[in-house]
Amino acid sequence: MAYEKTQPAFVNGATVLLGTHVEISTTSPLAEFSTIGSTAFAARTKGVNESDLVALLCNRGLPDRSDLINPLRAIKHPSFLSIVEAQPIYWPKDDASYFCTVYERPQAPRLLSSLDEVHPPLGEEVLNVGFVNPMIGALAELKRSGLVHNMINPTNIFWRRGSSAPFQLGDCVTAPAGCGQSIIFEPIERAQCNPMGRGVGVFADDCYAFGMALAFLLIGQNPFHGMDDATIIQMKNERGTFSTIMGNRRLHTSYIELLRGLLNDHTNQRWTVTDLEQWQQGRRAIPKKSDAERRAPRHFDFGGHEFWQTRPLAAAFYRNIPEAVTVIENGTLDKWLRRSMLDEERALTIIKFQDGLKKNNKSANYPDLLVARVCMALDVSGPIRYRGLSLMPAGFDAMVVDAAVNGRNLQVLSEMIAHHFVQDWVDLQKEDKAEKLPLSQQFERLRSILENPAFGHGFERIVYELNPNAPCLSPLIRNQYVLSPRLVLSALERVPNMANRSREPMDRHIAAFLIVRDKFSEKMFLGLSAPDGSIRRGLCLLSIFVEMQSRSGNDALTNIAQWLLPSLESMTRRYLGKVTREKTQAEVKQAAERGNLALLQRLLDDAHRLERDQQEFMAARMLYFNIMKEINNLEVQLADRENAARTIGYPAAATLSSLLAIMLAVIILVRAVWQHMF
Amino acid sequence: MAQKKKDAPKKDAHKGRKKGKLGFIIIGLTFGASLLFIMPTFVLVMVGMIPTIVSLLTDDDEERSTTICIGALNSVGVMPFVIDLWMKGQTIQSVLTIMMQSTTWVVILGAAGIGKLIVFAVPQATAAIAIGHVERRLKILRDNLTSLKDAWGPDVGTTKSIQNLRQGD
Repeated sequence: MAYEKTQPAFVNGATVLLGTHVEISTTSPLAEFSTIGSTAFAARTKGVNESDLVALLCNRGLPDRSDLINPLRAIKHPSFLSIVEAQPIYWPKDDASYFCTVYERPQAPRLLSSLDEVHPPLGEEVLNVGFVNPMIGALAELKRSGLVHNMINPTNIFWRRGSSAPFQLGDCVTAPAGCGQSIIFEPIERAQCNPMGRGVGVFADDCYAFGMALAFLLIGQNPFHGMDDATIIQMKNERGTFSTIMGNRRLHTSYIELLRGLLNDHTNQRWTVTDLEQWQQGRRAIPKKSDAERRAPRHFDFGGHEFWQTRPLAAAFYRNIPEAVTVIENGTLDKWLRRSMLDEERALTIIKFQDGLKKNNKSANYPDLLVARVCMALDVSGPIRYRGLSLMPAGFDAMVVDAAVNGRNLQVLSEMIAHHFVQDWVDLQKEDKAEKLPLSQQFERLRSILENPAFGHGFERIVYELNPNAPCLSPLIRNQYVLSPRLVLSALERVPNMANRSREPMDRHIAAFLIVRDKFSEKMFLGLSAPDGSIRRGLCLLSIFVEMQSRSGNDALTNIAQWLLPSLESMTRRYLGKVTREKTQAEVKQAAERGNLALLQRLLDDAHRLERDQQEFMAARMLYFNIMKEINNLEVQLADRENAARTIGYPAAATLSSLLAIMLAVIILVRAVWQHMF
Repeated sequence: MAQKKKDAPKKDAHKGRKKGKLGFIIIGLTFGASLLFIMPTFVLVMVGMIPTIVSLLTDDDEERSTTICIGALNSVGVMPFVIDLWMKGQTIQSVLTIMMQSTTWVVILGAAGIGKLIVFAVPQATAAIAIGHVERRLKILRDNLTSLKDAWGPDVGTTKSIQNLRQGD
């Protein structure tokens, strides 16, 4: 009750409406509910005076997990915060749209305000009733829904000892899977990843997190208090999670069994819902052997340290690549694997990787490529480690979005895809390999997409292939959070005509988005590879937008039409006749003012008009050459005046003289006859 | 037979040359005989037509336009004196009388001079008229060229392909 009294009041004033019935106060941030990927604001159901809801606004630049919204809303279980509304919202303060998830306000505060908070250990009865049983119920719901929460930890659980309010699991949709999770709650393989590269895990990962959260409550403090991440990973690696936590601590037998099952470092041996339910019913399962992986009888010296297992050695190799290359190439590692680990298969795999890289000629990245593959072989279930990135194959999803938005690690991720790391990783898996084969096939396809330089391919396409729920990340409309391809046109229509606006309302992101989400044919975008301002590019651009307009049913796109006009100028220049060209330009301008793209296309790509123009041009050209020919002839005549006189003048003179002579002769004869007779 | 057919044209040509010679001889004999009766006229004409004869000898034009001009008017200039000779009786004495008169020469040479004047003036005048016509035609044609370029652009006068022109090359 004390908690409820401390809730800040809903500040009336600047509010935005989400859906039809949720009001969010833009001036009432709730810091205690904010997550790594979102900022929390007070919200209320329309008509209610007090804030009964919490809105999580994903405005921190991280990809979200909006694909979980519908399955989570379908879960009707008291152990989950109830999602009231979830959709993109326009945030006036930033003049941008974000994804926003509105939950019913939690009925209790967070279980721990920070992981280092010390609290009295909970008793068995309280723990079972208030925490363990509801958590098992929540996990059963997650399992039934096929979801992985990836954010189970005491700071994301709303429950307090002695509170009448039920246990509630917090948000998991406002950040990439595992991104905000402490490595303490992640199994060893995921703990070694970059936070954003963990990807969506498996259900057993949630069980591991539950086990670790339980350990916190049983022990009354953070069992890894004061340790840095590297030490935690090293201890988990060398001793196993369960042994690391337990140390010399004494716990109730049933909890030891539960923790051993949940904190098993082998995913396939870890307890899941069936085991937990059996444990609840009092049936005691045979404890599965957990703890660290197999140790070699003789250690491997590397970097001044002794290594008895392959998994910690992989981590050490990644930290010291030049020395790792030396021990790989001089055969020291091979000997240790064969003689001490008695692992012929692993040794052969490493030799195969070495040979493969040498066959393809040593590139500048040879050491990184070699060590990345050797690390995969040494730590088969571990992450892919390459040039500063350490990620699980599922972690590519969020990483590529981050790379596309912020430009981080774009080159490294491209190289990882191009060098088929994921395919190699899948090949090395021994457990669940068949389940992972589609992943290998998907990345093989992505590799060919990446290597294709055409519009609609490349890295941008990979973003949407891997993230079916990512909004369009085109810089043109990124701030409008466009989830549906049908909304791309209206988003583009809203882009203001500013000086720094791109030349065309199209880029590689929009092309990839349309191909992946709206099944546009890749062939439609081939023309966009033509140079800027070319007819082919203009035609292609126009046909794409006409198709988009046809699919969206949006008739008046005046802004887009005006935006397209400069790119279509080359098409009006196709008309060679000035009159036809000017007439077409005037008609095009009118069509653009009406925003009718289909009419624009008909005008600019009118085959009949083009044919007539061509025929008329050919006739004009023939006339031109005939005139030129005549001019040349006349100029020759003009230059040779003497010849003109000779050819025309002399015959004329002869004719004139002859006629004159005849006339005179007749007169003389008549006169003579006249004189003779009279 | 074939040989006979080939020989036939040769015989015909030979016969033709024989006939030509015969005709020339007949005309020569006729002219010689008649010359006895028209000797004074012949002398008068030959002397009066000296400008034409000179023109004939100096005219290098294939059409002999100058000779025709001078000759036509020269012959008209001689004509009244030939008639006068025929009226007075054809004697050498009459010929000499006519030729001794200065007016005879003024008329004959004046007529020939007019012919020469026509040869000098008419070609210049006709050339000037023709060139004026050409210049007017040239102006019309050049105006047409300008109109074509205005309507179709400068490339109407080139041989660039339509495809290239439409691509803006």
